[in-house]
Amino acid sequence: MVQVTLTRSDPLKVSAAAGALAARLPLIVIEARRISSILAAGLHGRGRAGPGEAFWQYRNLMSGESTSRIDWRRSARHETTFFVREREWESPHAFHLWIDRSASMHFCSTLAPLSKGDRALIIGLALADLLVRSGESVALMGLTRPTSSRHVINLFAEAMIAQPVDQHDELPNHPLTSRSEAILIGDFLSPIDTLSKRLASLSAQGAKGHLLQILDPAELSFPFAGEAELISLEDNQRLDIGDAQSFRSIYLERMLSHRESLHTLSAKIGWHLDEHLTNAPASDAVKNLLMRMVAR
Amino acid sequence: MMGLSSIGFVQPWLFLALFALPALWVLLRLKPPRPKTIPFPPFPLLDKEIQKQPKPRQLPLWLLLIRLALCCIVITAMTGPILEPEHQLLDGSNPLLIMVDDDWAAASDWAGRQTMLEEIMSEADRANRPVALLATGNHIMPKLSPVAALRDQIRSLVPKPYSQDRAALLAPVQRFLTEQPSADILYLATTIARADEENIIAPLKDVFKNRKITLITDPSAKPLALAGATNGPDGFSVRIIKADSTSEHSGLIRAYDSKSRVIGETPFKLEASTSHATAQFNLPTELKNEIARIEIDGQHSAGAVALIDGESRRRKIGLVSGISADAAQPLLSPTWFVAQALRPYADLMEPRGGPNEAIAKLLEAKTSMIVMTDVGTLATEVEKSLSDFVKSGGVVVRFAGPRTTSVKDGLLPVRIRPGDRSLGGALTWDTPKHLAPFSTESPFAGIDAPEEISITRQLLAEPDADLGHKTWAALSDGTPIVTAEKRGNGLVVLFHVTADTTWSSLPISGSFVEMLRRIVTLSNRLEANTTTPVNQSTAAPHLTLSGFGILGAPTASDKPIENGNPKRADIDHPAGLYGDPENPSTLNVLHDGDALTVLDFESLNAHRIELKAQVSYDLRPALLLLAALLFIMDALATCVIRGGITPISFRVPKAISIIVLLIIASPLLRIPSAHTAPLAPKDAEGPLLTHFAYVVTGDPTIDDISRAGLASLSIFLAEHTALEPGDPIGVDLTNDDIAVYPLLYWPMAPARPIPNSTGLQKVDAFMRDGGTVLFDTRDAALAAPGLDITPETKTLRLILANLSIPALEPVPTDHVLTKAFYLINRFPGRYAEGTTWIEALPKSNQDSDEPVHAGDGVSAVIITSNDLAAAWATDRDGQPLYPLTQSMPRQREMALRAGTNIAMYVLTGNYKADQVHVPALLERLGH
Repeated sequence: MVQVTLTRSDPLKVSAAAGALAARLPLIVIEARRISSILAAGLHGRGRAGPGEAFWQYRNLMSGESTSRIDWRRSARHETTFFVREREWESPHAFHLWIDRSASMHFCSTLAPLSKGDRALIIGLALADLLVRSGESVALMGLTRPTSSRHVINLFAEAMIAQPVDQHDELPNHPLTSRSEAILIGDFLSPIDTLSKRLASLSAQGAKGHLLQILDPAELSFPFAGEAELISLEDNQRLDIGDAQSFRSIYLERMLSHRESLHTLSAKIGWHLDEHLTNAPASDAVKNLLMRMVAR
Repeated sequence: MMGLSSIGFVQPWLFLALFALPALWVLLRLKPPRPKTIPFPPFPLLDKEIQKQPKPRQLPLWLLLIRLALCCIVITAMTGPILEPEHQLLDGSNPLLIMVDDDWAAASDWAGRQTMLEEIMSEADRANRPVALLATGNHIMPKLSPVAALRDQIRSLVPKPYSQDRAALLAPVQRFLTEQPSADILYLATTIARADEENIIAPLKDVFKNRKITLITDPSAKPLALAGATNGPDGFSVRIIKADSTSEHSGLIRAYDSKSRVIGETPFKLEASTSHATAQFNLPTELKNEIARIEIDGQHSAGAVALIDGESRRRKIGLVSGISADAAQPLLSPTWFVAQALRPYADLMEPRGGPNEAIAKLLEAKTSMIVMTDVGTLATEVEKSLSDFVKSGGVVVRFAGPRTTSVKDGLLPVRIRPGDRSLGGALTWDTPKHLAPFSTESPFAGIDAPEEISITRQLLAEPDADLGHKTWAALSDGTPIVTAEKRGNGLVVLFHVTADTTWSSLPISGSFVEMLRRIVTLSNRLEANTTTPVNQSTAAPHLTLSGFGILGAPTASDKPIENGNPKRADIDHPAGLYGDPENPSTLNVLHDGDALTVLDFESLNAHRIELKAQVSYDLRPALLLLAALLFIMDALATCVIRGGITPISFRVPKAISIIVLLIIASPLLRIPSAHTAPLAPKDAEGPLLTHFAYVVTGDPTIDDISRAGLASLSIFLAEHTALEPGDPIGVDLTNDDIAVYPLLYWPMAPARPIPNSTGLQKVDAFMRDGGTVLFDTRDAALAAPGLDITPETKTLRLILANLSIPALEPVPTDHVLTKAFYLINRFPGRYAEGTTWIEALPKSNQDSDEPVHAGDGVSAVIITSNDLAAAWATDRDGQPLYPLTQSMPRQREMALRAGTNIAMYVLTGNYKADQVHVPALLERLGH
């Protein structure tokens, strides 16, 4: 049976896509919150301090320190000592989240309930919320500084709307510090050479990382038939492939080799790679990723 | 045997489009269907080498053929192919006798019959059969001849304007069949016959014996016919007859005058069960008399035409009695029997008063005939005018009576011996006398002279030399009883007996009615002012009907009819107009009382074929349907080739296919076309309600003032008078119809061009037909003696130069315009200084003390300079829009009153001027 594909929004129109993102974002946020709250209940007992994340301990004022740092309320209860309120959260360890918003992420076949981009956003935001809940700080790579605010979902969502992406939203290539942990969510369908360069520069200083490759089921199975012409979503190129069914084997072979090289690449830099299909529940992917981070 | 089944084309030149097909072939090969496009993210994974080897894509041959077939079919459909299917009408090779019914009943489907006949001929030609043709309308002995010789004869066959006499066919057919014992018979028959012919089948069967008979009939043809039209006292009634008793008919009957103008139409309805119906024209007598021809609408046959002659015209006949009639006892009135006898044929007038007065009235009423019963000596001037009346073509019929015994005036055809003669009385020897049969020279020829009429008393004529010539009717002893003399163009007729039963029983006999009717007919002839003698034995054909019911010149073979001897129309005497062109007598196909019947051919045991009115099929709908199916097939095939019917790939083709289907189907949709341009809404509403109109000058300020001014004047009128005008309407003189408005307000706008000549002609016609134009120059404040002429006035002069304007004068103080509703003496607007001009009244004598003057009708022009509309104009809340000069007290109210008077004057005319006479009239009545 001939399969039918479509994209939710016209991938060739960036501004329309950005506008559509803003329109869909509230739903995405709600979905992310739902998933995060489900998983938060199951993730209790991580053995870390929960509340009071802003406060770690009081210590004595050391000479040379600015008086502005004195916590006067605490110091007033003591006759001689000045206390300084020390914050635990100035710890440099942070998760750096990157969500692919390039044009190719708008793809959605009828086999999947929603587009890859939407799914990536849901997973990314839910993950950020869960990490914050468990006391980590999360940054949106290139867009925000690390934060552990309870409103991390809203902050990220606003940041993304404020800065629309162009079609070629690529991985940032500046290296992360060794204490950072990268979470990269995307389809990683760029040529393996480009990917390899980017990942290498990201992990150059020894940062750890997790890759989540989000694919549409149609991209895995190529369920098309009949005369067809493929269009690139990013640069509008066309490729006349003749009968789609006979082209299928060629494509599947390419896809498989690409995924294999991606595995090899991630193993080489010591990062972890997960795959997620958009017809699978988002919570599975979040849970797997989270377990992986906790297990570290 | 195979007949040719032929396909004809309406526009065969469109086949030239087929030459374009090879080009289409190439195009389709070059441009295969577009593949479906799939936006595909993993695109970067596919490298260039795949991209470089697209397989050459070609349209599959079968799809190409489908498309070419589709084009061929569409082109063929556009050429309008018409299939004429073959008929297998004949078999065998014996000589063939073709009988064709060609009377009026065949006229309605004559084309079909002729086509059928040609087909039969072609078939006979192919089978090489000798053929004899017998058109039953003119029973000529048929002769066997080759088909080619008969072709012309067939083409010249037309339906005949009479009912055919099938009985007369029997002999020639019999003769032919004895000569040709082996001949087959083909009868192209109408199933309709006059009711008195319904037994024709049996003798026909005897003649045909056991030959092979093919009978072609058209059961669907159900012609209607007119049988008898009577100009009765209640209206002109027409009798419609039909043959079958299964179908209902309804339609229109139209009456035409002698110049073929429609003067009346009336609907009719024939129930299935009845065989005849009557339709009535309710027209005024004068119009009824104009009717020369009556036709059933849509029936093109001579049977559906009734020609009306002068005899059925209704004349005005005056009755004058010498005895002052007692209205309470009409049966004793001497005019009673005459009136009863004449009423079916004429409209009677019986004025009151003595004979002199009554005759004067009748002459004034322009009666064509005056009947005087027992009128004695007349006043000299009445006698003179009466004899003038006779000389100019009138008919005077006098009845004797006690008063006429001593009359010696010039209005008697013969000299009367003083006194009268009594027969069969106590003092006489003689028995009452009877009427002798009417002589053939008499106009009464042909009327019965029954024995039971007895004359007991009569006037006697002096035995002059020409008495015998003047006698129209005589007693058995030769005494004249009706005498007549021609005077000038007219006729004086004297009945030597009274019009009641005291002297004779003639007035109560049927012959009396007939005699009077003949006289009325004669009077019609005379009125036509002819020079033909009253008595003429034959009438030559003037115009004859064709079988299709169209009047045309008679043919050489048409013979004259005998007067007063109405026969049926037949081969020698086709239906038509006979005699004097000015006043012809008519011969119709069917007469009053005729009925139609359906002939039952069953007993002939014939092979029956139905004559189809439409023997050809239009192939276009079928071809277009096929094309549409192919198109759908092609669309589906394209979808299959492109790999699936995807919503995204199908959306556009679907829209296109719907459009293309609609285009293909459009010839099949019958879009009713408007026959007449619809009236613009404002034109259509105009006549229904009184609206004031203003001329749209094109200057928006002025137009707004005009509209607002007339609107508030309309409100003022509705509040104060019985007139409730609708919203004012702005008219564009060039394009709008202004004839429906009573008043046209025309403010001068110097900045705008004056209307073109079309518009001005319209205004001219408007004024001539009773409309009033109110010109307003709006410059009273600026115009003063000694100053320059204002541009508005210049514009007005320019306009008026192109219109026909009567002499004008400032509105006189006693003009009806000052009294039409309010009593006013000025017509102020924004300004009160300006003079109002109006059509000058004819000079009446200055001494008259009438308080008001009015001419006939309404002034077509009123010219003011006071800017009336601006004074009237209010906003929506009723607040005035423009300040006034206030040079007179309550100027705005006065302006509205002036407007009211103008409106009333325009709509009621000089009515108010007449009203001022009411006191005088009342006073006169009181005395």
